[in-house]
Amino acid sequence: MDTTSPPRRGKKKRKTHTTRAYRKCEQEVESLLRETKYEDGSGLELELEARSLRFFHGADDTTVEEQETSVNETTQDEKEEAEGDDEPATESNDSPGQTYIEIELQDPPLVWPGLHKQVHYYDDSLLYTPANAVHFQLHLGDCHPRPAQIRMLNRFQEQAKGDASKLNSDLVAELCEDSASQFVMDNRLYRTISDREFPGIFLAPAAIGQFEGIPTRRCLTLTFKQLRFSTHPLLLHEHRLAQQLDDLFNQYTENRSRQICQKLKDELDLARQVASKLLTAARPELTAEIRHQLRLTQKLRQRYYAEATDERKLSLRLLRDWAKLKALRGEQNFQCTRFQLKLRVCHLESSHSEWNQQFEDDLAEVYREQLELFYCRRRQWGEAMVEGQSLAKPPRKPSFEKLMASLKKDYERAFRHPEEPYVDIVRLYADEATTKLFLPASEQLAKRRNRSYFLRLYLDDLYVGQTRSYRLEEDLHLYMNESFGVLLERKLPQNINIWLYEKSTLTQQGRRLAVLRSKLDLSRKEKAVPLKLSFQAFPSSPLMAGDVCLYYDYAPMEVRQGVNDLDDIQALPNALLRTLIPPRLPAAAAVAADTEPATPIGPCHRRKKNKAPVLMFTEQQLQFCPISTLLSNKRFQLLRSRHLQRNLHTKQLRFVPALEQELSDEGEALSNTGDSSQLLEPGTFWNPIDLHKHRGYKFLKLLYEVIGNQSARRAKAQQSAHPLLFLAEGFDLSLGTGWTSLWRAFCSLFQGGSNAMIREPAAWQPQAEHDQFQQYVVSLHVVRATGVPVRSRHLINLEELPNSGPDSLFVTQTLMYSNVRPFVSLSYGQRLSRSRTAEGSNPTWNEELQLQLSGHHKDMREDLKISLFDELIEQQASDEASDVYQRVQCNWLGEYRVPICSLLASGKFEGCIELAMPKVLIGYRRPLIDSVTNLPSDQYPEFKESVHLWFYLSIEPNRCDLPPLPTNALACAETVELQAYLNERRMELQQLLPQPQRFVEPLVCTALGKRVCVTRLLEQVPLPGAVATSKSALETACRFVALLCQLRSYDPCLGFRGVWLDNQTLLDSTWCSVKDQGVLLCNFMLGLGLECWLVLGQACPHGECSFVLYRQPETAELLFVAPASGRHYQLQDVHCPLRRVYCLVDKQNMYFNIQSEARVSMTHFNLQDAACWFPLFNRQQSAPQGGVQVLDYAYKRSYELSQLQKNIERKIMKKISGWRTTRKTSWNRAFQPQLQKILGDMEAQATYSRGRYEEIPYNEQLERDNPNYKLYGFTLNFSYTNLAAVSDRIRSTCIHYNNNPLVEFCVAVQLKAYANDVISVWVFLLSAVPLA
Amino acid sequence: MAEVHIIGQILKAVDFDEPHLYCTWTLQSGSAWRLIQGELHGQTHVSANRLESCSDFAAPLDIHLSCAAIQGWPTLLVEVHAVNVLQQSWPVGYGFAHIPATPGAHRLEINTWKVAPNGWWQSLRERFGGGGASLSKTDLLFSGVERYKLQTRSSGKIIADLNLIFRKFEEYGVEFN
Repeated sequence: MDTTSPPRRGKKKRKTHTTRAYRKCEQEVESLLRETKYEDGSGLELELEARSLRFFHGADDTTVEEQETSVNETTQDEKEEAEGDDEPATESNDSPGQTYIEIELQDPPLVWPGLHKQVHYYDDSLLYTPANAVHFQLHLGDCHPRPAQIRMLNRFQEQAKGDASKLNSDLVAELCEDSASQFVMDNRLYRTISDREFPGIFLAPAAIGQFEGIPTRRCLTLTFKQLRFSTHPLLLHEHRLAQQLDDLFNQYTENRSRQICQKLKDELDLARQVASKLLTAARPELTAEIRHQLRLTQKLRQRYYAEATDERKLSLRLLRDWAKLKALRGEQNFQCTRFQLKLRVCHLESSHSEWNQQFEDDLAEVYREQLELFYCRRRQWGEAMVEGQSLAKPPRKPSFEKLMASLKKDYERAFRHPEEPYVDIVRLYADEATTKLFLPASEQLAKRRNRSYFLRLYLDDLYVGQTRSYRLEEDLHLYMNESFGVLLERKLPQNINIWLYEKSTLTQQGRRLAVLRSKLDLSRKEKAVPLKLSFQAFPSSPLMAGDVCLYYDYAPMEVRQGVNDLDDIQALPNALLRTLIPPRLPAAAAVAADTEPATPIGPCHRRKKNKAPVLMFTEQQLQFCPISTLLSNKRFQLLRSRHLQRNLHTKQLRFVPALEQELSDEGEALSNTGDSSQLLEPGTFWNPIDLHKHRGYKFLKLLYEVIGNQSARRAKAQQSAHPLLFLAEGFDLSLGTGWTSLWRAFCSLFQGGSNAMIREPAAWQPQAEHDQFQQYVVSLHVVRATGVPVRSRHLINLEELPNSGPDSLFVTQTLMYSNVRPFVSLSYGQRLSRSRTAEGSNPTWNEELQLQLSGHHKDMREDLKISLFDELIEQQASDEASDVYQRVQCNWLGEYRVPICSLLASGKFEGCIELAMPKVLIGYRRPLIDSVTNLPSDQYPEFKESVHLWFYLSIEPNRCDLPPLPTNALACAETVELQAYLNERRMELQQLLPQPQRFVEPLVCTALGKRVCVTRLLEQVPLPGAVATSKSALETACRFVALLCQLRSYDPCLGFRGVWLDNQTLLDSTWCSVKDQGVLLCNFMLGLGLECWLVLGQACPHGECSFVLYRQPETAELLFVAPASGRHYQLQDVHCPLRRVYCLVDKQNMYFNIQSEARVSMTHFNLQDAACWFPLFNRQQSAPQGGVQVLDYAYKRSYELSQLQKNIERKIMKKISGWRTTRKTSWNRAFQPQLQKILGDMEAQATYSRGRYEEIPYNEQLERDNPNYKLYGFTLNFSYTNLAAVSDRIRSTCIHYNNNPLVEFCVAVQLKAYANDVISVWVFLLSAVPLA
Repeated sequence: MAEVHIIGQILKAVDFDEPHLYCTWTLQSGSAWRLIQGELHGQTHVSANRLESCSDFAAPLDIHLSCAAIQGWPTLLVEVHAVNVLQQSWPVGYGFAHIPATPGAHRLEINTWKVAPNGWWQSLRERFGGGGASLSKTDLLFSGVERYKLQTRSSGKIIADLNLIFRKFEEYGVEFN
């Protein structure tokens, strides 16, 4: 051991010991190396091992120690680096071996050295403790329930929560009463245990589509045939006789049908033949059998005689009674029963000889039997005599004559005499006409006629139904012939109860007379089981009794093959048995097959067969099947994905078949989309455009959330863990902890606290979650408006007036401008408040509208709408002259949308806004300046092209405490020097700024979660293909940007301190905030080669947002572009929505506005003027550029639009029909081509008109074309987000509130797609009332 | 592609010295086995019984496994932890059992052991509720390679009731009688 170890190692006592095997290997390698390369080295041996040791275990002992310390340091450094410092690590690692993983030569301990102990947390969240306070909001005001009641309420509330249902209000009311009872009735049914045992049933497996459920239904048909009274006050002697006869006849027919005699006779003949055969054979061993057979014959004969006697007696009695009845009927000369018999007498010749033959046979047999008996007795007697017992007499031999006489007597009783004619008895069912039933006048006719009865049927005390009431016939029968079909589900009735009622003339109910009970035996298979039930009337009623004949029939509901009965257990069919029960041991079978031909086949063959794959684990060899089949098994996949609850399709799957082959094709489709846990699959029912928009929205929300969380987390981490070098107050934590920062810290110490930077308000507070709803009050003070459109039809009528002299100018003027009665409404969601109506096209309201909203600020996503309506009052004279009806209709003229999130963020908006008017407004026209006055139009600033509204909009509580996103905690991509520079400049700037809120942080957060300088955002990005090639690329680019979807949510990420998207994120998702639109537009303009700046400021409906300032190449005039609408404004335009300018950004620099003038129209835009603009970068420090935007972004083509267009049209029609609940909605398609044509031009109009006022000629054209319609309609244009947004837009126009019964609607939709599914939707809605 | 259903419960822990116990369990199986449905890990509630040394857990098990080979037959590993008044917990028992290889109802009694304290000071501390010695590698529970290094004390028993259903093993020549 020591011989091989180098001397150095012995000295230094290394901690690392090499094992023997290792050294052996090492020696071999070394010897090989020596042989090949180094022939000379004798001292090389030591060196080599040392080298290898150095390689694997680090350099030296000393370096190992160093390394350990440095590792600690580097890990610290790494941590700090991760926290945003891009300063390189101060110590560099010199040895390459340090980068390898160190091999641990000492095993870690199996057991922890100390005692292990950890805190165990009890989680009480699942416990429910009853409290005496109500857990939920109870809107009952003044009532004060007792503690017990409150606990009860809480308990029901919890139960309702468990069911995900709502607490029943009745229950609440009941529980809150002062005199509430102690118990509450629950009418829910709870399952209990049945004592009946159900046998299992087997159904052959079928595809799910064909499976119709377990056949649990049966149909029970009960047919009431007749009811007969056997005891009744009206019963006469004839009735009794007839009923007796009836019974007798029934018995007779039954006997006849059973043919007992015939059967017995056949059996007797058979027995006789057997006996005679046995006798002829006469073998001694057969004596016992012969005796047995003879005894059988005797018994059969006796039975035959008895039965025949009975039958004959019955028929004789029948005949006698019938004769009696006939005699009675003749006597009393009236007939009150229907019973009729017919006798058919026939003489049979051959019967005599047959009779004789039979008689002789029987006689011989009887005689033989008697003889046998006699012999037997004599033998017994003889034996008795031998034994000495004296019996009285020896038995006598039977006399033949006596026997013959007795047999003859039997024959007479049992059989018809050969001379006697054969009588066939047939019952006659005579019809009503031939048998006239009448009764003597002495009977109470009137009474009888009233008597009618009905039956009620109960199955197991469950009422089924009642028969019609039947009149009692003269023969005391009720002939009903009525049947009930009862559908039984799952349970068979045990008993049948029938109540007999006498119908009374007074009440509906009737008098209950009797009850008939019987057990129903439904297990019998035969059809039409007859049932005869007799009854006895209750003692309270007159004496009555009788019986009811009924049949019941019991059949399965559906005729199904194989399954006849619920309780029938079928054996497994053979074919199924084969498939269900696995085959016995395929392996064994294979072995058996192998062994059989083993002998003839030579060894060479076997070798071929046994050739196994070259490399195989024994594990694999022993496997049943490869694991991949396990993973690809569809059934397992289904079960697994259902278990994981991630897939939408399999989540709710109730039924997974137990056999793989039962998986249907649907299952296949499911498992294809299977385990990929996507949020949404591109299913067939999702329009791809909808899907794109939805995904984009989700993506952006997720991005904001992630960045928000990340920054919050980092801010918190910074707050808690102060770095070592945190020396100065106000020192920015993100500046890192290198030597430079130490120096900076010293500097800031010596500079003193006076001009120390004000620390960001950021110190991120763990905010309390505001889960509760908040109440908001939105108040709108609407002052006045100008340029409201006027109704055009009235105008036309006016022009047709005969006297249009100069004096009528005033009349025209006033009429023209007062024929519109506008009012303003403020609405949010379904809530609305409106102003009074004013007159004329320049109305003044000076009114305050208020709207109460409630909700969590995160849920408020919709737009606050300020809409302008015209109230149209039509006088309607009804037929009576005194009544005059007024029909009020409100026509939508335009609206202004304020995103509620920006209102929440800014608190208030005020000033003059321009309403968004529809491009085409049928039925209205703009007020013409020329017709009012001769003065040139520019002297009337208010007669502008658009409708302006002066307003003051505010929300209370003003600014809900949404903390700004602490983005300054995020990692910064700029160099430390630049950051320091920016900080210094900021301190300079903050002394110059007239308003502190004008400061915009130059380091902004990108979509990657890093902070970069804002100048990096501006780059020449490629334009969409269609935009770049169009003839006026600038307008098209503006239009494209304006059509991107704006994200509406109250999120700090939307502001300047939030997230700035790059062009790829933005264009892929097509969702963005308004400031991102500005950045994109600015980049597009840079791409077009224009000189432009990004303006960061505050605008009216969007709050913090960005505009673009550019210099028109022809006129060198500076213009603003609003990215959200794509409109251009002059610098001096007072109606420009931009309210404040904070700073201007271009690629090279960032200029802060340090003018004291706040108004935009008065601001100087000479950027070289140092008194007005403060440049952030100068010659020493140039602005960083580029790196954020994706310069080779490839645009995608939009999806097919036709389906979407149809969808939108259908949705609008469906929605309008739905909103007009009470009235009929008729759609007029005649206008549609015209409207489509108008819409076709609209997109170009909107793109190129630059928002200038042009009276579009369609208005009048459409009216001229349809003179017999009163038309009102407008176009709507918006970018497509989803169908719900479309219907929301339509709804806010209230076009569906048209009360005229004759009104017809027409809708036309046109879509224009730009790249990346940016779609402009044009909707034309028209309501036409035909003029009488 | 044979399937195994393991249905049952971890019934109770008996004969432990400590009154308040909970048990964490894991079902471990080889690479040829796949979980289809059910939970492979779990922890029971803390159960206490001061009269008898028996803590009832009745923690349900319902696991559906599929397997491609017999190798790696599933084992049930249990760790019993004690909790004291200060809500500190430490392990007081390790144990494992193979799932029985016949279908039907089975009652498993898993004998557990715990690591012996290292020296009298530790044992004194342990005696007064200062924690317990524990394994640093939990794979010792089922691998026997390094067990010889351990010094343990025997501890109580975990009783588990299992119902086993095997399916399609016949197709591969495995039969149960």
